[in-house]
Amino acid sequence: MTTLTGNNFGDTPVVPAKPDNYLTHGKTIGSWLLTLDHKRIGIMYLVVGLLAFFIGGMLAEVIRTQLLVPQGLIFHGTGSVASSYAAYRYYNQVFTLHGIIMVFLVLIPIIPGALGNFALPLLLGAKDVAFPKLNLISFYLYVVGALLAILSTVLGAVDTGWTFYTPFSIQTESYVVVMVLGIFLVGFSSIFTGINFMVTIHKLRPPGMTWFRMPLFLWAIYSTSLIQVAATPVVGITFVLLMMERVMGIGIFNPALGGNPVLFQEFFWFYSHPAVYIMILPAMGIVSEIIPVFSRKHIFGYEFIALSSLAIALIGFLVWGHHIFVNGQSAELDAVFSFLTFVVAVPSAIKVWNWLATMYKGAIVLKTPMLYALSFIVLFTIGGLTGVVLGALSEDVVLHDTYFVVGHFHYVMMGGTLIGFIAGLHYWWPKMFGRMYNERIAQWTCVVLFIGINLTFFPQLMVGADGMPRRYASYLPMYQPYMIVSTVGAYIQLVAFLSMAGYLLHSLFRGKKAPVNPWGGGSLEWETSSPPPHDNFETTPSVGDPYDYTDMVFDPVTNGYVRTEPQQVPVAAPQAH
Amino acid sequence: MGVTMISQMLGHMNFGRTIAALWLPHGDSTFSPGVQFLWDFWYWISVFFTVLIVGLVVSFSIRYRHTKDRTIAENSPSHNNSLEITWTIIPFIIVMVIFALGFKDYMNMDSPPANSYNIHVIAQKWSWTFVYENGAISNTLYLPVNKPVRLNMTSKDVLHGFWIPDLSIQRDVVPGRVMTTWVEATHPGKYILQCAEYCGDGHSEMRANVVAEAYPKFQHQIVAAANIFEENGKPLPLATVGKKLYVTLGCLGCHSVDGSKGTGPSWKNLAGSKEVLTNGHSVSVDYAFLKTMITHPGRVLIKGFPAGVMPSYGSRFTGKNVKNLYAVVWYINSLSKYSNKASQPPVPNESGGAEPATSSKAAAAPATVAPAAAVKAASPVAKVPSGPKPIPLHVLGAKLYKSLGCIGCHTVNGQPGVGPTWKNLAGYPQKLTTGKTVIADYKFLRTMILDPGTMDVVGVPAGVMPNMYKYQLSGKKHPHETKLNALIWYINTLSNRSSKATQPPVPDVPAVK
Amino acid sequence: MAEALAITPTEEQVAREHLAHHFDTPQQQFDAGNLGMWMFLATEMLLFSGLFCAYAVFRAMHPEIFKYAGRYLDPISGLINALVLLTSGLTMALAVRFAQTGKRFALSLCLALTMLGGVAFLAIHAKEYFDNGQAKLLWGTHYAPSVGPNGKPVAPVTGLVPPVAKPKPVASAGWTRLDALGKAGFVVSHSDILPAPAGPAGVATAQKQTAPENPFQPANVQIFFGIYFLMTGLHSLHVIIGIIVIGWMLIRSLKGEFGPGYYAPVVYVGMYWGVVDMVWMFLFPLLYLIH
Repeated sequence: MTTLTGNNFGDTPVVPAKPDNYLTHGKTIGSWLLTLDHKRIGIMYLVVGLLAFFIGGMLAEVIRTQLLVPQGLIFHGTGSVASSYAAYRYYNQVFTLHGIIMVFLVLIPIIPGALGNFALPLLLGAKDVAFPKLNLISFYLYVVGALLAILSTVLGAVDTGWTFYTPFSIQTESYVVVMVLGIFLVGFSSIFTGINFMVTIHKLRPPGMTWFRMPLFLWAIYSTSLIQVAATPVVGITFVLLMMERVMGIGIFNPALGGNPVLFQEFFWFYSHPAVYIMILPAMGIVSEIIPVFSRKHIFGYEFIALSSLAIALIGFLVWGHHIFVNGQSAELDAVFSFLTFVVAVPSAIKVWNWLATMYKGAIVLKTPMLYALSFIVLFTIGGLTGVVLGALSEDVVLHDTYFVVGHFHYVMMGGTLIGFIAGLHYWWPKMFGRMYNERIAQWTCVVLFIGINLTFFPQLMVGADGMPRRYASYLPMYQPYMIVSTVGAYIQLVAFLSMAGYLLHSLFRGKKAPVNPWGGGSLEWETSSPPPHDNFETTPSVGDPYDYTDMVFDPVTNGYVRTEPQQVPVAAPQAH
Repeated sequence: MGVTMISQMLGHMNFGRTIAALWLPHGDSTFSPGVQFLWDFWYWISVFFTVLIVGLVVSFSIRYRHTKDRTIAENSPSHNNSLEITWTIIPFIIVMVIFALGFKDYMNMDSPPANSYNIHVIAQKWSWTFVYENGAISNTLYLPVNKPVRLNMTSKDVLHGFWIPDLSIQRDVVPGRVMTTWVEATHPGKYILQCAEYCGDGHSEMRANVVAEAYPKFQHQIVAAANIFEENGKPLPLATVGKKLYVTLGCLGCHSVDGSKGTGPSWKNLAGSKEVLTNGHSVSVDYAFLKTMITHPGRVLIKGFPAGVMPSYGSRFTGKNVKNLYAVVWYINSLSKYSNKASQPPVPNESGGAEPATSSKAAAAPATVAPAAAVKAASPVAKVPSGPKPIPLHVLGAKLYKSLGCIGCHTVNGQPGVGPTWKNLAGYPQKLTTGKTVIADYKFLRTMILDPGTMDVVGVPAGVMPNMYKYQLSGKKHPHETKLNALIWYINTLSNRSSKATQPPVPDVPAVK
Repeated sequence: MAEALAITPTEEQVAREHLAHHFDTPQQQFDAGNLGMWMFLATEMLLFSGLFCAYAVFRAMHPEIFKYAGRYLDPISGLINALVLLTSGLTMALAVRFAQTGKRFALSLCLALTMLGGVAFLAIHAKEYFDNGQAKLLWGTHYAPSVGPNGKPVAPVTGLVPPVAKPKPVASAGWTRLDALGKAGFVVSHSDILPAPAGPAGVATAQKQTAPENPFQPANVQIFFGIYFLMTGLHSLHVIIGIIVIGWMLIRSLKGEFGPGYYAPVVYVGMYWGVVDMVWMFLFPLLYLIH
């Protein structure tokens, strides 16, 4: 008792020479590439995802530059109509690749893959996800899928649009099969990740953490996984059918062989609409984590936020038809889809009100993660409200396939998912790498990005309502003023992203050491060191209310928050607050 | 009922037009007021909520900001069921009102009135064609004002989107189906139709002008549009008509006229030049070749250009519409410095061809083409190049070899092609996929031409050879099978094992009518 | 303490050996695997459900195709296959039981019998595919039978048969409004609504449909065979994967890896095989027993 030398583990050194963490635990390349550690897999997802985001982003800049002038600035003909069309094919390939990369390689996998993998077991106080090997397989399926996407681009870039609508995708002379095979594999990566996370949440919750004591990010990830598991197989089989169509001429979607091209659209959107929620729900989860921490106040309406995620996931399965109102399905069916679309809008609204109520009477710290979370609220509100008008049947007729739709989903995807991801990245960055970034520069970058996003996408809403269709390589001159503003916005975003890359890279090597709990978060990941050790926790953390900040004080010595008394394990159900 | 009344009442108030007008284009159809009203309704609700939410975010951030004295939140509840219910119910009611208004207008858009005027819309890569009840064809959509028009839309290739922003109307055009929608313009005006559903290279240029006019003027327009061969009662030169067709039929999407590269060959200096086929053959681009390329584009493939891209124009250029073919070929000739007698059509260019008097009739025909017309139209294929002078059958066969498109797959010099070469074919043994070997005699050749699916020769892909020659060479319409015999005679002249058994049962002399 | 160091490991010790570092108890690990497997099987069912949907849509819109083409298939071979799979399902269930009770020989025997059942199923199915190929009962442009299901000759449908939209009453929910179009007295030129050259790889384009000599042969029968080959092909792929995985289990069983302390992989494979069986029990009536 009096001496520490005589413990039961004789070989353990008394004073560790240097604290081991997951980043230094194994230094070979193989120890990274073959790791089963969820944190390292998360970091690998982050690297590949950001690389894909960089490529997709540069393609976006090409698109915006092309649209500076009505006849196209980059791809345009040499005078004859035929030569223009031949040039426009390159533009079509660019926007197709932009869509495919952003949707399948960035928006869908990046939050669950990078932040989910890193944070989910930590938030649970667990050592790893339920199936670590499956987790690694998921990652490599994702990488192989991405490589196939690159291969198809090298062989003959796809020009179908990311939606692969038949019969165009059956006829076009580009490497659709290779691309679709890549997406098929990415889909399976998504399914396995979903299964893994759901089982982890079901089976690896520590004693005391009941469903309604989980951090809200876990609820969001759980709902997301539910969609991944239930919707992705359908797009898997759809893409198999599309491949069969091209390789064997099976004829299910080919009108020339008696097939039904609209069936492809139904199948495609049965997945791809829920996929929208795969993208946005985790971002909402991140915002639900950040807002209470930086308001120093308990989250408002916990159950409503948690259950609204589940409601969105479930109702989200029944609204796919709203993408195809004008393709001739029966008006009665259209009405049902329209109705359900409005129903699914309500849970999203509930979340926004609860976030605002959380801020009410709080002590709001406007650090970078919080600034991004607030940007999320504003941008997502605009994205959501523009979605409401698209759900109205008669309005959809005049807005379908216009730039209004483009503006709407960029507000949701860029302003929602990506901003949510960036918020989460800044929130967990100190935990991931044990370093702080330059707060002042990060805050200004957030402001610039916010301005850039609005300048880019608000004019797109206006020009779309004015009648400009999407996927146009050239356009009528009357739309040009909007297009110029939009392009300027895109370049402002580029500046913001370059700045972000700069200060984050700087932080990796030169950043100040991060404390255990820099923001004062109450969930379990803030109980372990930054960065966490290989096995996540030295001692099993005690579970409490993740949104209770009353016993936390700022410690100026470590620059982080510490608890004044250890968390009490609540014995009964959480008391009403 | 109530919704209708309120919408009419508010519609007359026309609130917020000044700002909201920045958004939707001023609509000129009977749908537009409803669409406009719901848009305004949504717009102001959205402005309200956006301002509210942004206002709360900003004011909370300032008012409750973290300071030295304010390090922890004030004591306030984190839970309030009545508040939750309130902000669930209110948005729900609002979106339900939007749903109901949208649904009401949409049902109207979905059911065309019984007394509608019918216009058939044909979409293809990358042009729009409109066919009116009187058979007129135009590339400008003419609409009568204050009369409902039902649009019956078909696509020849991929999905297209029929989208006129100013008339608040959009519908996808799905291949293999007839899609319908309707519209009633309320003012005379000029609008633009744009393709909204992505359809490939020329998607962004797939536009058409839309002209809404009072009914009498509309009728005048479509009568004028019915006759492309005349202007102000005077016949136009065929090359000028061809230039119009170049635009209206959408040829310009793939074929340039200045020599620049496109999806298809440029028409500049095409007529009379030499082209190399996919089988390595070199052919001179004469009238017969151009005709085959236009009417049956799949038959002959020129090296360097993808297969299956060019739509089949079939009935637009044959039968009663053969003048369209003359016009386009004259136009192609007018673009070429190699133009010669062989590459020009058999009718003169000036004064609108040989029979100006019947031209208007001919042009009015296409809309009433019966389903059988395409089959019938294919029959006179060999007539024009065969010329008036009687010629031996094998010479006719050599001409048919080109004009029927056999040249696309079969060589006559022994080189390999998609199908077997005709050099030394007749009289030689052929190995079938069933394992049997048969001698290529008359019966075999006849079967292979008429019913190519019956037997498959080893090394030749199955299902490639079209099976429509049956109708062009045999059957009730061709009891003597003259052209078939001509082809088989031609094949015989190419073989050194030609014998009685491989030759047709008729002698190789000029055909008797 | 000394008693615990028995020479043969106890169930508890075997279970501990197979426990991964991030689980607390073997039971937790088994439950996690079980739940994961159920979810995976759910995604498998959803994968098939896409094809079932395609089947339902086409059957609802064109019942005549299914009635006609279904008679080409031999219900007897489908039934035999159903029985073969049911038997192998039984042996697989027994294998799970024997794994739990530690009867090693019976386990290996049952696994081998299950594999045999799978192989027999594939053999019968291969014969059926071969016969279909001979009779040209294939998908898309490859569909070209010379005799109808009643044994009487039909017009060979070589080359591409583009669908000619016929003005006929369509029962489906408002997809096609050709009937209404006909009523409105509008003449649609068929040549105009023919879809243009579609088809990959050199398929001849836009030919007229030949008048079938057999008046009972509906258009687009090839769609049925497209669906038939997709559904049964995907199922056969699952059978093949199942045989491989069961083979792996057999090897492990022969090595003596399974016993009352550790049998989870056999249970998971058994669940998979059950789903493979079940899918065929749906496919069989849907494809073979249409009339």
